[in-house]
Amino acid sequence: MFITYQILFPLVFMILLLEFIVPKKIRSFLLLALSFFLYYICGTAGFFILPAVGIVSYVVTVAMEKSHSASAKKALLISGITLLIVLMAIYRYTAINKLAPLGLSFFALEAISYISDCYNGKIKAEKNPLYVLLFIAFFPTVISGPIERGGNLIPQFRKLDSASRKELFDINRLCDNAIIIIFGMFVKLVIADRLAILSDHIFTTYYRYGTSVLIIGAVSFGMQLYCDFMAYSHIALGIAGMFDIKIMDNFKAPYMSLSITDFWRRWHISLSSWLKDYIYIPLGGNRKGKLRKYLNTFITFAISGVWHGSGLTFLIWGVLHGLYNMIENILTDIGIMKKNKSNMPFGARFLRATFTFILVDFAWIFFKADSVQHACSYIIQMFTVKDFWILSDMNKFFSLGLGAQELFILIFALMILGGMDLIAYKRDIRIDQWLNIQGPVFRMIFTLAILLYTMVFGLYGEVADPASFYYMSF
Amino acid sequence: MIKRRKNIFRFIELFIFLIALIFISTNLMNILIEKGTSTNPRMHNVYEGYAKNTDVLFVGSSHAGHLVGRNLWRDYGIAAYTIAGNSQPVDVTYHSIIEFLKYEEPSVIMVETALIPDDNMEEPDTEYEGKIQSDAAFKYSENYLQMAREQIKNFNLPFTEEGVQLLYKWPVVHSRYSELTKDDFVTDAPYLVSDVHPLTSVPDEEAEIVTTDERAPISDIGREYLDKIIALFHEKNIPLVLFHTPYPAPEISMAQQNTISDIASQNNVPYIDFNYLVEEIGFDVQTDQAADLNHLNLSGGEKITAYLGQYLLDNYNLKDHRNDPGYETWRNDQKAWEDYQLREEFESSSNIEEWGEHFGEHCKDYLVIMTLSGDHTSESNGSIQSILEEVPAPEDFYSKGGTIILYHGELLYYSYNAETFSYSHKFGNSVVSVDRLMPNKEYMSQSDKDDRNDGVYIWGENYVKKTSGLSVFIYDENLDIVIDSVGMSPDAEGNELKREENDK
Repeated sequence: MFITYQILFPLVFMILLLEFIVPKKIRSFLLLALSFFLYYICGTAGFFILPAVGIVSYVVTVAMEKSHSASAKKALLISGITLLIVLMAIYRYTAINKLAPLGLSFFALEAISYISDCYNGKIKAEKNPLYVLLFIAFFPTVISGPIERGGNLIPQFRKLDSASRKELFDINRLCDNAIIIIFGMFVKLVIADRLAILSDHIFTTYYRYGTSVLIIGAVSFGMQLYCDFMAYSHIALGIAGMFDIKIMDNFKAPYMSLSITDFWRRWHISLSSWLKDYIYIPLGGNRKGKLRKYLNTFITFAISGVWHGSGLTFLIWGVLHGLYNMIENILTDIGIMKKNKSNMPFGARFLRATFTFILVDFAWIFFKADSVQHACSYIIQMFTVKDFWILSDMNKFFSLGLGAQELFILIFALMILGGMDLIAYKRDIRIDQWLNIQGPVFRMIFTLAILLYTMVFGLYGEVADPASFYYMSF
Repeated sequence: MIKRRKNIFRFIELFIFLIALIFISTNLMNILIEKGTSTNPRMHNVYEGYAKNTDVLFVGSSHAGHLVGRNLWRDYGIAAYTIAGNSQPVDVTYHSIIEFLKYEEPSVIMVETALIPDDNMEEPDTEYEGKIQSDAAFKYSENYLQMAREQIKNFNLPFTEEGVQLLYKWPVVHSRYSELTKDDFVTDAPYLVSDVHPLTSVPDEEAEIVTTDERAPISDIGREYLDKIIALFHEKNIPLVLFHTPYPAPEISMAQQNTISDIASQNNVPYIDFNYLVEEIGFDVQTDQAADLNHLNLSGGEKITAYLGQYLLDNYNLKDHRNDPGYETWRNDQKAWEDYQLREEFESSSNIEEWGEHFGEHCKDYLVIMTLSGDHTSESNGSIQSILEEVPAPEDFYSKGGTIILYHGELLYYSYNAETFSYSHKFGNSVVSVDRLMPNKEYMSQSDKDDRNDGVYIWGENYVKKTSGLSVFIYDENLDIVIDSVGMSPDAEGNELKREENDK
C-alpha cells in the first residue's frame, strides 16, 4: 500500500519549505532523504534493493568512465545490465515474487538506461553518488514512473543545488504544478476509481452477462487504466515540478490516436521511448530491411508484455500489439493505410480513432484478465451471448456497480477529461498551459471547480484506497 | 518588471483562490456533516443557535436521550437541551460538553453515567469503532481535532488509515453526498430538544432492579474522562450533576456505578442513581421500562423528569421561563411534541367516524386542505359530508368538488367553479401548492394508481390520497409537520381511511 495523500502532500509542502530555507547545497540531499523516507514508509519488501540499484549504477558507470579498455567497459556494461535483468527476473518469475520491492520494474529500467547511456557516451558518468541515487530513488517517479533518463534528471538536480531562492520560489511554476496535481487527483479519484468499480464487477462476474455489458466492462477497464495511470503521471509530474524538476509527460490523449503506431507515441511514452531506445534500436530498428523491422517491432512489444507481468496474459497482450504494429506497418508500406493523416476529414479520423480504440481495448481484456482462460471465456461470451435489452432496462443497467447518481458524476467528469484530451491532442499542451492561455479568472474558477468536485465526489476515505494505482503492481 | 507584475497577480489569484476554497469548503462541510438525529447528538442545532438560553444540558448515552426533557419546560419552565447518542462513548460526551459550552452557558449540566465504566473503550468492536466517526457531528475545530487525536490514541486506530481520515474529517464526511436530504440543507426541526420518538413498549418478561453495596472498578478511559469532566466543571464553575437512570442492570454495573458515586462524592459532585429511588418516584419496571429492559419508556421518562424538575428548582437558581422571550425553541418543541402525539391519535383512528371526531376537535389549529374529485357525490352513507360539516366549507363545495384551503379555520382558498386550477402559497420555508389539471368528470375514470402530476404538494410530495373521493391534508405550517393526510372513498367499505399513496 502506498502512503496516503494526507501524509504525502503535507510532507511535500514541508520539504518545499525546507528546500527554501536550507543551504543550497543540501537541497538534493533533502530530496533524497524524503525519497527514501517515503519509500520506506510505503512498507515495501526489500527496501534495500532501491539504494543497492543506485549504488550499482553509480559504481558501474564510474568504473566505465575510469576504464580505458573498451572490452572492460563492455564487460562492465553487460554485467551491470545482466545483474539488473536477473534481479527483475528473480523477483518476477521465482517464488519470491511476493517480496518484490515496489517499483522495481521502473527504477531498474532507469538504471539500465543510465548505464547504457554512459556506455554509449550520450551522457557522462555522474561523479556525485548523491545525484545517481536521487535519480534512481526520486520519489515522484520511483513507484510507477515515468521511466526517466539520467541525462534529463541529473543536470536538473545539480541545477537545484545551485538555484537562487528566487528561482526556486517561482509562484507561477508552483501554482501551475499544483493545477497539474489537482487535475491528476480529479482524474484518479473521480473517474478512475469509479470505473474500477464497474470494470472489477463485470470482469469478476462476466459469466452472468452478454455482449453489451461485457463491452461496457472492456471499455470501462480501458478508460480506468488510462485514467489511473495518467492521473499518477500527472501527480508525479506536478510534484516533481514543484521542486523545479521537469519529468516526462507520459500521456498525450492516447485514445484519440488514429493508428496503433500513433497510440504508442501517446501511451506510456516513457516506456515506449525506453523500449525504442534500448530494445528496438539495438535490435537493428528499421535499418536492416522491412522484414527485420517487422520482426524487431514484434519482439519489442513481446518484451513489453513480459515486462508488465509474468503471466501468459501479458505476453499475449504484448504479442497482440506486436501483431497490430506489424500489420499496420505492412499496410502502410504497401500503401493501403495513409501515412499522412493531417489532411484527413473528421469522419475518417473519427472512424480511425474508433477502430484503433477497439483494437487497443480488445487487447486490454488480456491485460485485465486473471488468466488466458478467463480472457478467452470473456471474449467468447462477449461475442455469443446477446443481451442488448439490458441497455433499455435501467434497473439492470444501474446494478452493474454504479447507480444513476454515480454514473452521472462519472459522465460529467469524463466530459471534462474528454475536453482536456481534445486540447492535448490538437494543441499538444497540458492543462496548466491551456489554463494559462484562458486567463486568471477562468483558471481560478476551473481549478476551484475540479478541486471541489474531487473533494466531494472523489472516492476516498472509508470507501476506497485512493493511493493504490494500477501500475504499482508491475 | 513584467515578470514581477505577473508574479504579483499570481499571488493575488492564489490568495483569492484560497479564500474561495476555504469559504466554499467550510459551507460544504456544514452541509455534509451529520446533523444529528433523535438518536445522535444534535450538535448542528446548537451551531444554528437553537439551543440559545439553555438552562440545563442533559448529555450522555441513549439513556439520557429517553428522558422527556420537554416536561421540564411544560411543567417547570426549565429550558433543557439534550445531546445524547446511541452508545455515545464518554470521550464524545466530554467533547460534546466542551463544544456546547462554546456556544451556550447552561446553569446546570447533567451527565448520564451508564456508559462511563464501559470497557468497550479499550477493546472496541467494529460497530463501536464506526460510531466514533459518525457520532462526531462537530464542526471542524480544535476541540474536534483534540477528540480525533484522543480517539486515535484510545482506540489504537492505524494512523495512516482511519487515524489520518479522522483528523482531516473530510474523508469521513465527504461520501455523504449520496445521502443528503432536505434536512442537510434546511434545519428541518430546529425546535427538537430531545427525542421525538419515545419508547412506548413495556417489558414482556419479569424483571427487577438490582442494588448493591459492592464496588467494582471502572475502565481506565472511563475514569480518565470522568475526571476530565469533573475538572472541566470546576474550571468553568458550572454545577455538574451525575445521574443514572433506572433499569435492571447486572450487579457488576451497579457496583461500577457505586464507584462513580464515590468519585462524585470525593469531588463534591451530586450523583443521583434512580435505581435507589424507584419507590420514591413510583417507578415500576413492568410499566415504566421499555421492552429492551434498558431504556425508559415514555411513562418512566416522565416520572424521572418530574423528579429532576423539582430537584433542579430546589437546588439551583432556575426560573420559570414559559412567558419569557427568547425561548421559542422550547415553545415550538412543546408544540411539536403535541403535534406528534396528535398525529398518533389520528393514525390510530380505525374509521372515518372516529377520525372525524379528532378532526373536528383540531382542524381550527392547523392548515387544512380538502380536495373533492371524481364521483364523491355518489356516497349514500354521508361520511364525506359529515367530515365537511366540521369545517366552514362553502355550500356548493360538496356538489361541485375542487379544493378548499382552510387556514386555522378561515377559508384561504376555494377553487369555485374552475374546472382546472393551480394555486400555491408560501408558509415559512415551505410552499404548499395545489394543481388540478383536468375536469372533474375525467377523474371518475382515473385510477389512484395512474401517474398524475396534479394534487396537493409540499416539498414535492403529493398528499392527495384519493382520486375519486375526499382527500384531507392537515399540516402545521409553522413547524412544517404533516399531522395527517388521508383519503376517503364514497361508501368506503367499513368507513375505511386510505393513507398509502396511490392507494386503491
